[in-house]
Amino acid sequence: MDNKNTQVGSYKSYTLVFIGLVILTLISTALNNLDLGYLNVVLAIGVAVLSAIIVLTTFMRVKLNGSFFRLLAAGVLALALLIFFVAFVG
Amino acid sequence: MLKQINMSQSLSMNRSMSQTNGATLNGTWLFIFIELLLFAGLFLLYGVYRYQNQIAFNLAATELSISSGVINTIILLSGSFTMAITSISIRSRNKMLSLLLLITTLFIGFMFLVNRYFEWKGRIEFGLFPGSEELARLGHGDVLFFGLYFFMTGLHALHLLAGFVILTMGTVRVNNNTLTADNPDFIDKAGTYWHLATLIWVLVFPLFYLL
Repeated sequence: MDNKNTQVGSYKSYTLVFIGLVILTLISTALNNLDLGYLNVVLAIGVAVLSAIIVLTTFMRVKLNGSFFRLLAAGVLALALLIFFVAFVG
Repeated sequence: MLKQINMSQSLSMNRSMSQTNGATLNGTWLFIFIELLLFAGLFLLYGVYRYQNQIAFNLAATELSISSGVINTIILLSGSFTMAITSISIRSRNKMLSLLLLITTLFIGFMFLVNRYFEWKGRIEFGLFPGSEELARLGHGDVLFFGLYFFMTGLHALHLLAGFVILTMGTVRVNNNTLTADNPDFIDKAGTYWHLATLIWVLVFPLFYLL
């Protein structure tokens, strides 16, 4: 019943992912200090979404292949773009 | 030797016979989807309010401490990290390490909530809280921004508190040997929930602190 056979990552891979995520956060914060106009918004949200995807695929081990998940990803992307454009472009 | 055939469908919709390469579809994931939907609604609300109050939102964001937000983000990421490697340590039958990691995760989560407390305290002392006169004087846009800020960070903190309960249950079970390498599912599910809290925060952080 229980999944002791579930593949988990290794100590090393999780450590690298963690360090990568922290670096992404710091980069995103640093970029925010520059004045890049509309790019500020794109980069901030882009980095956030990238971090979210990294957490989903590595820590939560969600494997997103198959037609159902392509559909799901397309839907989520459409929603995200909608929110983005409504909020920041108007 | 009886070969255990794993008939559960993985989230990748591949039928794997003896090993799942990813997370398995179970009630935990249904719950994750529901919570994500809840926050998606809130993000949509943020989007609309921001569109209607571009300048006010831009200015109101400067009232929040970016360094506090960054520290909180790193705190939560490290909590997810310790939770993730607990999945490894429980499978290698390392009870001491698993206990240590679970307690560390709990401590890290507690630090996040302490930081949240001080952040809220700071805003409230400045009079920037839902229903205050100061906020009403600042204008509609600020009212909306801080209303959303307190609601979304508050809801997120509630999720963390629920995570505390789950992690404490896990710690107790690891401690009295009812949760071992033979049935590590609870750790995986608790971890999935905890990573959800991290994920939500990673998305909330830029919206309120950076932009």
